[in-house]
Amino acid sequence: MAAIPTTLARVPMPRTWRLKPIDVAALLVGNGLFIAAMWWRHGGLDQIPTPGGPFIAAGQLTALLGTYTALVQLVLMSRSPWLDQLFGMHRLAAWHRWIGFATVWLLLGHGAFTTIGYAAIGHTSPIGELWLLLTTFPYVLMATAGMAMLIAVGVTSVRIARRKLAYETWHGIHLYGYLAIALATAHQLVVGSDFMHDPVARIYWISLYVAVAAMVLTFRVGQPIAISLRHRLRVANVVTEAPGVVSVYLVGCRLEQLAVRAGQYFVWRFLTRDGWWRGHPFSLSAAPNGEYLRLTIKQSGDYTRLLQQLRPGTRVFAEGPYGVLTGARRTRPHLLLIAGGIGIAPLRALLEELPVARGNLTLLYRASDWDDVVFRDEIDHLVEQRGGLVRYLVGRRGTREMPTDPLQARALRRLVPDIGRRDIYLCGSIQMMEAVEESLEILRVPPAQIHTERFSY
Amino acid sequence: MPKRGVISALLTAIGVVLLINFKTPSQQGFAAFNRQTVTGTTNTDGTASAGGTPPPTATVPPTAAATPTTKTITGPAISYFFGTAQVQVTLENGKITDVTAVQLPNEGQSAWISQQVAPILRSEVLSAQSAQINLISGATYTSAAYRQSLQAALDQARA
Repeated sequence: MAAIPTTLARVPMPRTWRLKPIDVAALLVGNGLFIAAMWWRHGGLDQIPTPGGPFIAAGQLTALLGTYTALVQLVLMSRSPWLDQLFGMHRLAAWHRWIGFATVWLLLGHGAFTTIGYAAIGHTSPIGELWLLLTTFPYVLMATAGMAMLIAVGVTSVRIARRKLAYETWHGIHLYGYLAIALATAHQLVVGSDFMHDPVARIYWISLYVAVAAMVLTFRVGQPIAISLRHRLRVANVVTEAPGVVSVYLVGCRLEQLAVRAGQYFVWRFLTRDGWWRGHPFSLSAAPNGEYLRLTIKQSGDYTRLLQQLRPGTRVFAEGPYGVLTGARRTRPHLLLIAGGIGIAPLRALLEELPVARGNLTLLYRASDWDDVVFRDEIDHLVEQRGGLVRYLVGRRGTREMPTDPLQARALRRLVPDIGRRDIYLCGSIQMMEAVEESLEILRVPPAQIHTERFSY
Repeated sequence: MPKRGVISALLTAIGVVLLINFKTPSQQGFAAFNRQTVTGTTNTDGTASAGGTPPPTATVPPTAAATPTTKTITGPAISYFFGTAQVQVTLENGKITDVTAVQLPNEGQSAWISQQVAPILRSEVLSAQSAQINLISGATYTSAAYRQSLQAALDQARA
């Protein structure tokens, strides 16, 4: 059993911003409207009566909006702490998914509409016109190569394809999204009718790109490098917690100054021959204490198997902290933590850190097998120390000991009669979380009291 | 990093370099035009219509109809989104010997575009000997209006 520090050293809280979801929505929608207005002011509608005009107009509008949503895509995935704090990465990822498909369709529409419209002006066939566009319009070939890349990104993200692909393959193809956006830029400025003739529009458009690039570079590149230089994280020890589950202890410089809260996670990059190029999110499984960081990993694929063999001394890059499963979301004095399987990791850290009066804390720990239960000693110790209660709900559903799901609404109410008055922190597999969320809905627990973090790839 | 990753990164880099080096005819045209303006700075007159082009061989003064076989006709002014285009064409025994843009948009960015495309359109007309010329990318509307004015002038000349 790992030593639990009896008194927690206070590490600084991550910075918070006084942003509201409405601010972000206003900014995003506002820019979209501004772009549409720019198109209108440049005579977008006036072209409609001309030959091929309706297609050219549609081609311009889909181009502007498709490019804009492509930039929004980068912002959503820029790992910005502002957006994470407001929405949580899993919600951003869900939006990214749907806006992504919309982007691909809009830009495909741009290509098709523009080809048909120019064919009408030039009295050529669409195929002939397409050839003309590719060979005689500056940078259109380049943009078309980008389009092909975006299609590949879209196709590999369709659910069926995604399931069949390794995470690394899917992610590698996804990186072409950046290249696609870069390749499309030149033709917008050189042949884009909104930008050719209007220097103000050109400056606006370029500054959108600059702002997005700055966000991506700051949060995805600059910030992890800064953390790495400042704290020089490295693996101190790797401890087996259960069959297929290891805890990795990290040490470094000035850890007492690393602002992070229990319940949060970093995207970790272990600088080994086979690990430096891929980052994966893992929660801290112990409250930050200024001496070490601990993350706990269950083996579930090739990558996590490799992590079991990490050697002490390995340098680590960390991007973060991220996550909304923290004390910042607290609304009530009473607490209920619900863990499913390895989802115990962030809750184990919260169990240590969340302030609570004796008797006001309950932990439900669902696992299908006692072999999957980790941190048993630590949990029992912490629960006793904090005057709480823990229930291990272990067993496979449908067996004699566990005929029904112990997290069903009725069962939950029996376990925690005052569930509606508590803050609920929930982490587990997606299926488990969806089942619990359904139960909580039946029990009419106000959504503001339910705090979750989803990890799914 | 797996070998596959390295190979795809390399192929991608090669592809991007090829794409960047791909030049469309009009881009080559712009480049040639720019070189001409640099070498011919001593006697450029700075007007949008003919600025920087090398003096064409044996042009007939556009306004003076010297012989009965030489006709100079000004096409109609064609208005479009960015301004007005109007061309003047000179025919010698039915052969197009010169064409100049009397009017092209001359405000801000459009003026720059006009300056770029006028010589390209002119040389296209001279070699095509008709209004059947390619639209210039980045100046589709300008070339279309130019073509329309030219076509009307030619129709009138050959009527």
